Amino acid sequence: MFTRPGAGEIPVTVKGMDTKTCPYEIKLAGERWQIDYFGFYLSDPQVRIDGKWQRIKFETTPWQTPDIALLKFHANCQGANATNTSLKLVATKELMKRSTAFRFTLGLPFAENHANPLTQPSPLNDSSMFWSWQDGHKFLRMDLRQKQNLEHTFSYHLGSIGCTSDSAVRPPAKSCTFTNRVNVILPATQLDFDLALEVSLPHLIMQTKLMESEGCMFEAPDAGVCGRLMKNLQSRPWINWD
Amino acid sequence: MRPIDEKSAESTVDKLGLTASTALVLTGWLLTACQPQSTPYRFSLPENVPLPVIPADNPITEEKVNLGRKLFYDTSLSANQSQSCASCHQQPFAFAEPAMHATGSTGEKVPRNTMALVNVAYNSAFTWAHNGFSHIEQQLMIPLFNESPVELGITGSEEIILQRLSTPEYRSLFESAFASNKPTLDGVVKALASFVRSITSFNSPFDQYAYQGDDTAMTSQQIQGMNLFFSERTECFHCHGGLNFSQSSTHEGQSLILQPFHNTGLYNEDGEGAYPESDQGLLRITHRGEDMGKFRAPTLRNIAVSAPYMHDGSLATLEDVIEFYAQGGRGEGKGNPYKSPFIKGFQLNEDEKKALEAFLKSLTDDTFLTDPDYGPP
Repeated sequence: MFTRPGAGEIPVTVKGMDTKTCPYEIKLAGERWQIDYFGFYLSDPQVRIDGKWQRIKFETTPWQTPDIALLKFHANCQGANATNTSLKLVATKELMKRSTAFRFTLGLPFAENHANPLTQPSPLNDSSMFWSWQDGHKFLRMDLRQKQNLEHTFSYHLGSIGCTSDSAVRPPAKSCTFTNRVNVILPATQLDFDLALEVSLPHLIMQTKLMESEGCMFEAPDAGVCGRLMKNLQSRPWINWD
Repeated sequence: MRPIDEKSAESTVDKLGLTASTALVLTGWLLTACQPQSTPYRFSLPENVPLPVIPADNPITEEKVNLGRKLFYDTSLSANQSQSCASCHQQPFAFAEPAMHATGSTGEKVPRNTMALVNVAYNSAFTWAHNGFSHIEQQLMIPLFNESPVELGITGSEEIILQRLSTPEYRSLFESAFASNKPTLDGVVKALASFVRSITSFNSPFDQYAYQGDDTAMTSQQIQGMNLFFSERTECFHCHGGLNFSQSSTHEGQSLILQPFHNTGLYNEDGEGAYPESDQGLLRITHRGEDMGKFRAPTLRNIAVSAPYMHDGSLATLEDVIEFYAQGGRGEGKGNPYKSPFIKGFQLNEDEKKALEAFLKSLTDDTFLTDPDYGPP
């Protein structure tokens, strides 16, 4: 029997993802794609109560610290699955009922983003989501492979860029040129505490020429595919209530 | 559970008519007689480096490490007494060997290049391509018992080998490690695993620069190379990331286990991605088509001394390896459909290639290569 999660638990699914195959597959731009990797960090969760934003915390788990969470959706075909498909908030049913909106940041705060990965708690020390002290973490990582043409891959690695420091293993002293954090606000229907989120990859990759492009990996978000992807994250409903 | 145990212990004391202090002395004596001398092994790690994960069924002790070290260097462990673990895993070469492939104790060719033993305690996967091993104890069974190809060749000679280990010196070492002076193969495996876990390397110029904050530890050329290593131009760090420069690493503070395997485009025999029959990597374990030619990214620590490179030792020098990745694979392998998306080739000028090589050399830890604690006993 399906057990309903607790009041503060929000399941997150990827719309249209076929989980019967390994790797999982999805249809995008009229083609089937293998999802080799798909995950992202969220931070600073807040709910809107009586017209005011109120900070809330994540429960501490291997996937969450009180202020940040890592979601991962791809299958691990070479071993036990290591997915995390729900957010666990420290919140009562009453609080969730009263909230009129939920917001979070896609990405990590500056301090956590550039700290020594060896001494950070899980999930900040997941090396597959880390780039370097200088540039910090991958806020979002998506690696797709075209099913009918395995040679063609499309990757989107989002993180801060234009960060200056003495070298790759020294943190920057000040904010990077493009911080590339994205604020997401999701209006909620009051009295609805049975919440679930859905990620829509078609919205995320819209107008990116998936078949011709190799994607965007830590490039400036002001042009080309990177610019398009950033615009999609900022203005299209790539994540929404289910 | 504890209060009940204490209570029953008290009642036994009552029945025997002993005073509490006598009982305490007696208990202490019994514990000493029945328990191994378990001096917890203390890893000597720089302040910022987290401890490795040690399996609960084989806690690491000084006594096991001592016994394991003796076993590691002892040719008694091969059936024909011609080889020890150290025959292929040689300390000056970061416990790898300067040969394309290993050769077993009976002269049989082992198809793969000997892997270096560097911070193996932090591995989340073992051997070049196996997704079923989470502990060294499991991996060790291969060199010890494998029959095809034979490495140390213990299978069938178990009794003889245990007899060889029945000298007074070994009996005393087993007694200290396991509270029984009778050598067992289980003890051999646990002791070897403990010694191999103790082999750590975190004192390279890179470590001094990155983790100890010593700005002078690396040359400017090495720093230039490091910046290239961590850049999207070369993509090196995607697979060789984390504290051990291998994505398949973990440590005490890391809850999420990563075990990735990659096809690097070395071969493409049939135009459809096939690796040579002799070694198709993870596919041989999982029997999944997508795992064709997938191997584990090895650590890059001390990589300059562990040539030749790749699972089959088919690249002779670091220069060759950099050129291989710059080309995005080798020959037909470049178009291998299972190739990692991060191996697309890159353009570096000669100075940049030299800088990248210089960075890889900054991962050499001379104290590790000469540490007498890791050498023959």
